[in-house]
Amino acid sequence: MKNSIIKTLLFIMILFLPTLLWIGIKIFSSETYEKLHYDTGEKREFTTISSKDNVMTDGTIISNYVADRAPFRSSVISLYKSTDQKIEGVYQKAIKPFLTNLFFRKDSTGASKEVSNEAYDDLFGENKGNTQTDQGTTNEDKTGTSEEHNYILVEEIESTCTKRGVRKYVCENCSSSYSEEVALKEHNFIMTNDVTADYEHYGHKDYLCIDCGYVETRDWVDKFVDDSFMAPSVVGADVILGRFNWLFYAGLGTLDYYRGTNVMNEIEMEDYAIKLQTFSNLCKSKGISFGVIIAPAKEQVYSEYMPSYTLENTYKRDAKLADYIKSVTDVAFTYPLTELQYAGRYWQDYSRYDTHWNRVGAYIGTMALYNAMGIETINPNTLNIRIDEPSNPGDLFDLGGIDKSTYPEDIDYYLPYKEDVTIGYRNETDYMNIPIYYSQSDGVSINKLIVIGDSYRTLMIPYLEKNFGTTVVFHKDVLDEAQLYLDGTTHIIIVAAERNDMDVLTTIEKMTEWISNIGQ
Amino acid sequence: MLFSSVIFIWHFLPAVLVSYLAVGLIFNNNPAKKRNAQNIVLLISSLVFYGFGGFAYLLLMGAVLFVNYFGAFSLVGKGSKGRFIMLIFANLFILFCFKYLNLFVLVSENISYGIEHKEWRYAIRNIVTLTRTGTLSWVDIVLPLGISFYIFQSISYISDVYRGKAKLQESFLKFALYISFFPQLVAGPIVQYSEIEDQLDNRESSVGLFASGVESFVYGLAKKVLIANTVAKVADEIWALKIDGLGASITWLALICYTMQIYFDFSGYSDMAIGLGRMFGFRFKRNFDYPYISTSIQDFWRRWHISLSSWFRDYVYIPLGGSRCSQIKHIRNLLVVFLLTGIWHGANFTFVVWGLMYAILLVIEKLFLGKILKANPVKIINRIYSMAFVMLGWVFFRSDNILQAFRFVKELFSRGTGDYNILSFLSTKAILALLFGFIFMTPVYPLVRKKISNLRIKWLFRGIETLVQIILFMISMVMIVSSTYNPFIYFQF
Repeated sequence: MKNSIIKTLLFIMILFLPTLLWIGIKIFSSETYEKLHYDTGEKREFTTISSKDNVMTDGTIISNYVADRAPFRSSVISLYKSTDQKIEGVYQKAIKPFLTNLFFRKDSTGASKEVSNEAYDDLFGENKGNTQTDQGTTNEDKTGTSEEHNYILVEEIESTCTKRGVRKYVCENCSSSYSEEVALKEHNFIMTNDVTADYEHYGHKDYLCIDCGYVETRDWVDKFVDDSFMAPSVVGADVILGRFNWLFYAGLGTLDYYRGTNVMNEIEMEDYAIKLQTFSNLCKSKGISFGVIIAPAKEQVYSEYMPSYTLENTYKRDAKLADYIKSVTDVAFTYPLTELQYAGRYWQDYSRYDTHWNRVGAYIGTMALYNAMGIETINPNTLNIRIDEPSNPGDLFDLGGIDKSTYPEDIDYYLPYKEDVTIGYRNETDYMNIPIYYSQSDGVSINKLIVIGDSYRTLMIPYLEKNFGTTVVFHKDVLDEAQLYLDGTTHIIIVAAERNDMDVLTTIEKMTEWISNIGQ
Repeated sequence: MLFSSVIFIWHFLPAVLVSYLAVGLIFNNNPAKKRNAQNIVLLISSLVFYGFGGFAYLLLMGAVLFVNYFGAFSLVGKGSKGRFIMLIFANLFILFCFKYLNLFVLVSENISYGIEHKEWRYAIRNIVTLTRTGTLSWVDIVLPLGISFYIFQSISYISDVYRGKAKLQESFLKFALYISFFPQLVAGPIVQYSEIEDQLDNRESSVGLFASGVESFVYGLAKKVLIANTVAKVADEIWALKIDGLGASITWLALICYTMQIYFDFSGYSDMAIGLGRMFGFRFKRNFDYPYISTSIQDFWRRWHISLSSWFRDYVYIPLGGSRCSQIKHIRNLLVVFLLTGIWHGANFTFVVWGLMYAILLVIEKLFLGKILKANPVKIINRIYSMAFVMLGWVFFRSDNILQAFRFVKELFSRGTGDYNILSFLSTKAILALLFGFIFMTPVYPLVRKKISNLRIKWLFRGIETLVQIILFMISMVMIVSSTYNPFIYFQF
């Protein structure tokens, strides 16, 4: 009986006390209430009930309203999260790897990657920078009579590694003279950096010319590839735990692209190509240059960090499509996979913990697109690229429910692209988070660029807007608004992530009528 | 409104308990008025509970109450058989309209498509995968919560009144309370009217009964929140993947998790319902008796969803003749009962296959296998046999359609491990849930309790038990509150 009474009292206490305490704190100590009622990282507004809500048909909104205001909710959630992290940390970091090695380790080949420099070199020219290949030139000024000259050296300015020297010769017999340039001196290199290759870095040596300060990187050694079997591991909302702390996205069919299980057949590619060509021809008839970029998924570029998935095809969907379109159309269509892979030896070009490319990746993609469209490209090696704060928020941490504090910092860069060009007007400085971005650059040209794309478009903006007088960038969800901006357009670009490759056709289908109506 | 929600535990239940206690105190000197007032409180609470899902559902329940309450009056006197059949038909018609009409439309559409286009393979595939052709402009009817339960309770009432097993309930209030009582309204147990008739008027509340209700509620809540919800995450994650190529180990993990999920979810909810009933003085019969230690399929159905199998036994099997007839008729009766049991669970052919499987197994056990199992001294073999078929049945129960079920079964016996690491579906919480699940699927706890109750230290055991129950309640509440964490995930597409 005593036991029953105690049990009953304790139960009643848990049933009533938290609510009563909470109300009491709210009424009598608002300061304490504010301390206890804090944002636990949900980044959303709490449910409210408005007069528009029909609570008579569904009580869910009342339920959510009450749940959002549960007594001591913030403290309970924080307690749960911290305990859960500790408990699950033991499993993820100790138990699971141990059991995986015990039961699942196989000697099969994991990820492998062949990186070709061909496409990169086509894009930026032979990647040798400021090399010493010229032999000098001769500037003859042989005036005077035609008899044999007897030239003697009268002046010599020595070459340096950046400026050619000059030798001046004068004829003893007449006033004839000539000068000849002397070949640049060889750089006086000392090795300043010797990076050993490992699983995450290419090996290379950096050399500094102590005379002129020129830096050259050579003696590249490929990254090691961990080809041991690593079973796929997906956490949270479709986040793949990759090798060496890389995270990838498995949702929205991206794995089909990675595994090569969704390659288009001839008919599908033909249909795609015909639609692109038709639209491109229409644009040309209106004096508009048209280009498409399919941004490769991170797992294609950094496949060496993916776990061991079985690949059904290595010649995958969008690589095959890009080759096909190039062979049968004249559309400026680019899928810069190899360019991005090769650029990766100089700079990490995708975010480790985000689904997107970083500033370098966006730059390489933009230059590849420019190359296809016949617009000037600039070799990134000539820019003074420096390390900077990550541009992407690391969406894969949130999607995977992963504690980011246990992961190393990500890396990104700043590229000083055309810093002499200023943007006189922009509707919003934070171009990462708005559906329509509008800018005007000073004194570049009267060209007008319209860009329609998904989230991959945003980091391309700094490298697009500086080449056009007016740039308007739309998220594909607000495509209908683009119709209002088409007057005066000289260039149209569509940007699509690999998993959204069919969105290109949806976009051009919608735009066809608008483009047709230009000038009418 | 779920029992395992903030609004129920911290708002609804306290409000009902306070109201119930308050009217009890107000009318303490008049037992009849006290019981009446308390019944009114419970009825209003039940209607609020049910109406939370939508006012329209309350109207539907009102219609069912009206038809059965007034219909029962017509069952008293001569010539009532016809009226009884009409009432049964009316109840079944309501159930059919809301639960099975969508399936009927789907089958009709595809049959007419097959006739018109002679594309029978396409039509049959559509029927099996529950795909509509859309030729009929039909908007699917939403299934009202708990309709299967309260229709069966209505049928129980009119059957008991018709057969004289129970008296006609003249009070609409008491009848409405029986049908709509919130603890067992949405997920059972199905309470036969004759079991509760007396309790509507005469029930005693006591601290002991209340405490036993608390115990049942807390254990039920822990079963649901701590075990069922945890293993459900694993099962759901795997079932959401493409089945082909998953590999045997992953599919077996999904099946084990689902086997555990359905038991702890359902029995947990039943325990909570029984516990809540006790808090208000009602004694409901247990609904589960450790079904996974069954030694035969017959034994399984004596332990699983007991209230449902009892209902079918009392209102279908026995009226058809039960086992007191020729063997052919007996087999027919078993087939009918289990086909109906399968269909009762849902409008999908997977449930038909599930029910049919049990029907065939029971017939086989009746004919010869039952005797062999009974005589077998190595009971573990019996248990393995039972579990194997029970788990096979769960594949059909869980699958969206028959094709998916067959593909899943095929994958259970496939070679290879597929592309996935089984460990990536697990977590510390999942492993603990599986471990405790395996333990509490068996009657270990009641056996230990029984042994200790004969010892001198039983007071210590009871104290620890109370402490464990309170801790379980608090942990369950932490889990419930934490499950309201719903972050806006920034993900650009």
